[in-house]
Amino acid sequence: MASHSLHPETWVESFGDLLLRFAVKRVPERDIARDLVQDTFVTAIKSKENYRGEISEKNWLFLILKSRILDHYKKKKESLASDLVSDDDNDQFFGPKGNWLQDKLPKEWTTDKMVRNNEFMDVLEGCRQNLNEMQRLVFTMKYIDGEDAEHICKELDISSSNYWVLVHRAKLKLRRCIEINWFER
Amino acid sequence: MMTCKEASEASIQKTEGGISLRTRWDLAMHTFFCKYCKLFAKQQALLNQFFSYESDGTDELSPTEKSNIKSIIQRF
Repeated sequence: MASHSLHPETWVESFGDLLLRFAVKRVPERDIARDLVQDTFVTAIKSKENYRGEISEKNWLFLILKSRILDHYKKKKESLASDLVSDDDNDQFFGPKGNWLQDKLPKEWTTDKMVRNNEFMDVLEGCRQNLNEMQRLVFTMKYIDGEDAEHICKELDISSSNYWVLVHRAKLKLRRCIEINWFER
Repeated sequence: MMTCKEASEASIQKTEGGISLRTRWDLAMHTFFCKYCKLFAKQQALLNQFFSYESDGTDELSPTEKSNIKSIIQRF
């Protein structure tokens, strides 16, 4: 049963900033993120006849934005594919026999001053932004958006083994980045 | 015996329940003897927790950007 209605005249003021923040998190180039938000509003206007009122207009706009963001990455598929094959990050962490390199050994993390600490969250975000584009995209979909692996592989048209390679590399780089920029500074 | 590289991969996959009983056993044996892979596993759990706290930041559209978008929307 339809219980929501659309008010396009209020969209930019009510949802523009929220949509931009969501987009910037997933597409770090702010100008592209802003264009995706603009594109979201245009798509919504063009397809408003299809809106059935089953979800709030805010959630509907976010769904459109998510779809626009995925389209953005699909257009860049060739350059993203090179992230899959060109990155030899594992060699930075493990020796020829597969053991941790001496200077990359994981350290004990003391968590008391980390969680809910704005400075630490800035370090965390900086480390996430330092991942290559494909690692960042997969990591964000998995650990921030909470998508399951099967859905991510389908949306990005990657194999399960590629997915695990990307997540593994992303997590190795993130933990090292956090150790350097938070624990060792 | 698993290598540390294999153990780190299995440790990440374990958080999604994506490893076989055999791999789970191999990982348990490896981390029993390897304190660094045990630390790595703890770090993975913390990383997942940290990212669940992340907010979407404070970016805003400028008044000019809002005005531009509004005028584009009005064309449709």
